[in-house]
Amino acid sequence: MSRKKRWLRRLREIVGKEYLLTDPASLLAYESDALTLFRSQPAAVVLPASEAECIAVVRLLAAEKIPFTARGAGTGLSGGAVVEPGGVVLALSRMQKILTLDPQQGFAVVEPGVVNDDLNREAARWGLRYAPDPSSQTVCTLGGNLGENAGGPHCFKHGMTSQHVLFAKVVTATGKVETWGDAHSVPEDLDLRGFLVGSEGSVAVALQIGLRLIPKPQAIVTLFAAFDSIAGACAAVQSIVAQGLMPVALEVMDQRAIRAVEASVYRCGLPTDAGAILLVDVEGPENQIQEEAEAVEVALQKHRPMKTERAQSPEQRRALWKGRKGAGGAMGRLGPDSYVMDGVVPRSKLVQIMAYVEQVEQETDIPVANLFHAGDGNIHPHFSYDSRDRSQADKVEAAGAKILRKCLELGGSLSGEHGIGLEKEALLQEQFEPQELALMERLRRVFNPEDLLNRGRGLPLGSGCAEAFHRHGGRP
Amino acid sequence: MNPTKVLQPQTAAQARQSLQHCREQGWSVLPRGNGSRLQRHFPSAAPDRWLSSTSMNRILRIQAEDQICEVEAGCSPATLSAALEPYDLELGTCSPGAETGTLGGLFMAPDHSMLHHLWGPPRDQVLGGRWMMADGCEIQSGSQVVKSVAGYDLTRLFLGSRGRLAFCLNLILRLRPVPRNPTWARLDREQLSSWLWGEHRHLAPPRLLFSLSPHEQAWVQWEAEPAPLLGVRIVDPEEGRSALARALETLGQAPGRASFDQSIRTSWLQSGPDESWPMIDWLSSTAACTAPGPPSSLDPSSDQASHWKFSPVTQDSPWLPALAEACAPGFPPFGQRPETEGGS
Repeated sequence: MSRKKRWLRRLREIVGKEYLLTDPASLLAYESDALTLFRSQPAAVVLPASEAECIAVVRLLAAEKIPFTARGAGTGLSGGAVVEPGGVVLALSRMQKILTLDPQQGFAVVEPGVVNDDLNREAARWGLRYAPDPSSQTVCTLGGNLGENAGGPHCFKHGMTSQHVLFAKVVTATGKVETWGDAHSVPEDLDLRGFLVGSEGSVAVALQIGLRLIPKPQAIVTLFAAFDSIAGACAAVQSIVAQGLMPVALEVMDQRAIRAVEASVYRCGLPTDAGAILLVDVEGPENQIQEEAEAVEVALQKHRPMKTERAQSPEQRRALWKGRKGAGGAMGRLGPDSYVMDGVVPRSKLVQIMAYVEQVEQETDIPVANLFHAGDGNIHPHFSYDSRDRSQADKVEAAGAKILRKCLELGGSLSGEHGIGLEKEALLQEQFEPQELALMERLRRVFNPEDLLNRGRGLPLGSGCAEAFHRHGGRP
Repeated sequence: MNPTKVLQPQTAAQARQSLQHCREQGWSVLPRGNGSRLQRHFPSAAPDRWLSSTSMNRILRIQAEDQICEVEAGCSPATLSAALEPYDLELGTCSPGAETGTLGGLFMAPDHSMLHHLWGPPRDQVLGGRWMMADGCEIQSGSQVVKSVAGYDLTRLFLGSRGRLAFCLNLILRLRPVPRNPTWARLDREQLSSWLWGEHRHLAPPRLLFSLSPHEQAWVQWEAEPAPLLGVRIVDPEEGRSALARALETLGQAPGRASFDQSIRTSWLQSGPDESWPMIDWLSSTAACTAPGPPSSLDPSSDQASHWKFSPVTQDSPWLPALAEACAPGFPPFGQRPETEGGS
């Protein structure tokens, strides 16, 4: 029996025949994450159902020296969950139990395959919520959120995943099981929990995650303002923040995004003649937020909006947010393929970066729609293109790199919430000095000595790792 | 502590020279700020030389429009607060040692923040930093934007290392708007319960809520004046500020801290807290302890013991040696002497 047959048989014994996928049709779904620019066919996909099965799988793969990549729902947008050719995908979507929900202490312990929104629904029964809310929250998993340090519209006030992970029970690439962090106190020793969050699955595999839950607000006011340009909306964001106001979300959508939403099932009555809209959520005690919402409206008026409006009912509020969160999906109608970028600039540079995005759009002649977390300076240009046309795909990739370089030039970062993955590994060398990347590589090797766990993701290891993967949706 | 053993570089170049000199002399060297937290966090540390950041204490920039600033690690929290006043901004922490400690020490130690329930622990306010490794190599971590997931989070790793992985040169910090109309009041025990768990908590969530003595009324601060509430006695803001100063002083001087969970809060509210807890931060569930570690009356194997976490932590992480080697391969880690005289 060949070595490969032997370890596949052992994996089958651990998880059961049904949960080891090796046939090409089943593997197809695991070739890429939501960024289909990068694809690689795994040798197998293994789906453990429990912590014990997951540990046994990791130990076996480590012993056999098989590269492997942990994956949640595959909604990542940077190629972070694409396994090296010949490697194994460790799909954690069957580990979906909420193990503890302690409403008095305000925390939950979950398995990594729990869907973000499922935790929110459960927490809501106790008047609580889990704050990070990526647009994919109805399907993305909390394990994936931890790996990528996921954000979302409401992170402006409440912070990213790293601010909400209290601890994680993990299995390292060598099979060691440990708990990093603590439910009740801030770790005073090495913050390995902090190092784990956002490590793109290359430091350890989470088995359980302890998450902070926060009280649902007594009241929420949602309002939007329509502007004739993106620049007007961005300037209004600056004014709101400069006044010391602290909305929980400050989201901008441009005209192309608005029109895509209004032409889709997510339509919510946005003005399609507006150049951009700014969506603002203010929350808190009833008597205080009215005052704050009025202050926001005063700040908006300084920038001469075409229109401002408050959501008049919880239904309208929900519809507005459904429109915003569905915008990514709605833009699918703009072209056969979509490339969603992720870059960050200091908030004061938003007007400059959006002008540059427009310039790049004109140069490439490929339509770009914009919806972004303006409060955080986190932009998400959506390129709509046809990956079957190689020249279009090349242009999109080059345009993306230009925009990210501009983000760096303006003092920003290559990623606000999608991670580096395969997409940006080459550009990482433009954000960090060689000695900084070398240090990150050495630290990765402390936990992942043979680099079996998510090899080639998140750091530019060697030269051109991404070249090992098939780009532009092409297959061998 | 012998003051002659403290090296106080004014620049990164001087810090590098200091490290090299210590290696050549065969001395162990450990980073620190002004030393105000050493007793709690390094009770038994005795390096041959301390490398202090106190002479690197400039505010490098305040970017008010982006609500960030960059400071040298030796700058004190009080100095930064004063500089931020004209901008109506503040650091999202409320911790002891604002006058005597350094920002580097506050974040490296790390200390408790009474604004933890709003903005998280002190380290959550740090967006990035500049660090010197034990081999003298300089590393920039994080960035100047409020969210970034490019590369590993070296900032959190270094901050939690209490100086054993890196010497902090600069910090990039996130700033928060100051409360518009802070209002202080005092609450008796029955009211305290309602503000912690009852309807009042939602009507007007407190910004600060603490007790200075088990038998005194609790102090509460809101960001803005809440709607008229039955039985709440609004007090002069000066009284509130003075109580807060006493609370922070008590917390700073206490030999230990305890983090406790809901069951402890409940029992205290029913029976009154133990005399050995001279300051209680109710919102972050943290108390000052009159003695380090758990009280002798607490059986560590008891069910009750699981509701407590005591600091300081005295055991090092088993990962520390490997991480220190990764940070400066082949060089003596911070706190350890070179293996052979003359250094690497």
